[in-house]
Amino acid sequence: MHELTRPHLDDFTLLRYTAGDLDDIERRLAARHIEACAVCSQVLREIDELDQELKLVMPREERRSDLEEVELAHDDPFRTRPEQAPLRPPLRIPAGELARVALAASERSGAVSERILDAAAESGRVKPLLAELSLSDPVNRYGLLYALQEGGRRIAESPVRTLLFAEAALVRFRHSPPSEEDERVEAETVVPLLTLRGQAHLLAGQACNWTGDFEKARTHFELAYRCFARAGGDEVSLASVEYHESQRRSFTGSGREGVLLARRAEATFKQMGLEDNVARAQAAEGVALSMLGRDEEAVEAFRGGLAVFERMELWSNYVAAVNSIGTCLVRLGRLDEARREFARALRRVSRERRSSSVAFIRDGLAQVFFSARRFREAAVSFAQATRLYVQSGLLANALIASLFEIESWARQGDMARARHRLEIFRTGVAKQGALDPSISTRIQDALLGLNPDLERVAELRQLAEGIVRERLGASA
Amino acid sequence: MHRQVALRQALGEISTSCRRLLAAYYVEGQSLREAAEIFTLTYTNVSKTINRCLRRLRQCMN
Repeated sequence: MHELTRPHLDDFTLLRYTAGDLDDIERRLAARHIEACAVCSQVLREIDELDQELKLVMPREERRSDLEEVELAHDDPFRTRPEQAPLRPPLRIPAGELARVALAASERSGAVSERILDAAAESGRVKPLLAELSLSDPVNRYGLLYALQEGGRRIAESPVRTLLFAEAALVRFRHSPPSEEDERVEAETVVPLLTLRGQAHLLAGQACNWTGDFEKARTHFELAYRCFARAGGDEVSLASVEYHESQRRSFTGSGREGVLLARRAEATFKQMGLEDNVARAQAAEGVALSMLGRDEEAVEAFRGGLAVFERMELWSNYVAAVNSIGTCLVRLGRLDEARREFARALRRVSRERRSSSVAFIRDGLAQVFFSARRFREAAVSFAQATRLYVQSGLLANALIASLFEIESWARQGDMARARHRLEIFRTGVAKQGALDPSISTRIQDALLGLNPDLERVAELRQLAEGIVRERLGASA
Repeated sequence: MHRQVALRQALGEISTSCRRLLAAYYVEGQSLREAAEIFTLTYTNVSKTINRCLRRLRQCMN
């Protein structure tokens, strides 16, 4: 082969050659040229590779763009992002001095933040603590702001306690003395009460998303959006609300709107270089796509953020993404791939450091086995999840996993184990007052005899699951 | 995976008409010759536009 100089074949001709789109004469001429020309031969190889990639990428890209035409209703508070609020009171101190005060207050706020988070982790402590916290002090405002933000990151540990924390903060703001709301004071200039209110509504909405109270979540997100807009329209805060609202819409059957809001938030986070938030927005898009039944695209969206969650040790997000990937893969019939995904996740998340995360992953894996009707493996995995949930204090989740374990043993045909686990379960619910004892008795009856009524066991398991979730507030 | 990300980005930067041609071929199953008919230009001009676009996509793969 030698190098012909002119005329080389153009890219379109070579693509048509690859596609078999040339007529006979054109094809023969092209083939002769390619054989003799090193340059065109090389370009043809590149065109071939491009063709292979485009076959994969183009259908996905086109599906992606068909969601770009979605519009929100005219009266939807999230239709467009609010304008930045223009009004800030005239500063009594020079801007440079203000920056110094803000920086110093922010740096000294760590202890306040920790104290609030410690109190929020125990029942009944956070409300009195917040009642005594003076919000005339910029240090306390930063401390509370960071605690509310961190609360969102730790939400998987206890969504119910998180909600109580957010609500306690909102009660505190309702009782703010006028001196704290005076727009001319230093603290209000540094961290406006509206920003704190917005953050508390955002956290409350997040917690409601986790517990499944979506109507309440809607109200909180709308209020958060409004508060952040009035506080100055910080784009990142507004995008954070959109990202959580996206999830709420997806969970309530408005997946297309979910995609729109997730993408809007993602664009802002990308612009600001916030890698972790970009990954979260991608996961939110994944949730929306999976709710639309577009599992293939959803898996891709979830995987987009997984490496970032892992590298930044954002384990709640990581676990949620892994479990979502697993669910989508099972629906796509790719069970082995789902198992590998969970196995990889279990290796990543060390048990010592994050038993709750491992519990959620084990639970997700168990659900995969259960869906695939591999009941023995499901039962073993549910039992491991139960133990880890107990260790992490997530009792409602432990009880629900236990119910699944009982049903798995029953479906496996191991009635002795099913009954034995039911006895342990009964003791657990009796201690927690989580369930009417008659339901456990009805499960026991369904498990009795030579032909246990498995459909009845499943029905009762669902009923019991709903009651436990409602009474104890299981994390999703 | 990197190539696909780069390719996706490049697809966002090419002309709408070229993107429509690729969609007609790769998604809707039309032949390239049929797909090229969406352009109301002479074949030479169509070729020029598509060549520019394919070159851009090919470069992003390297």
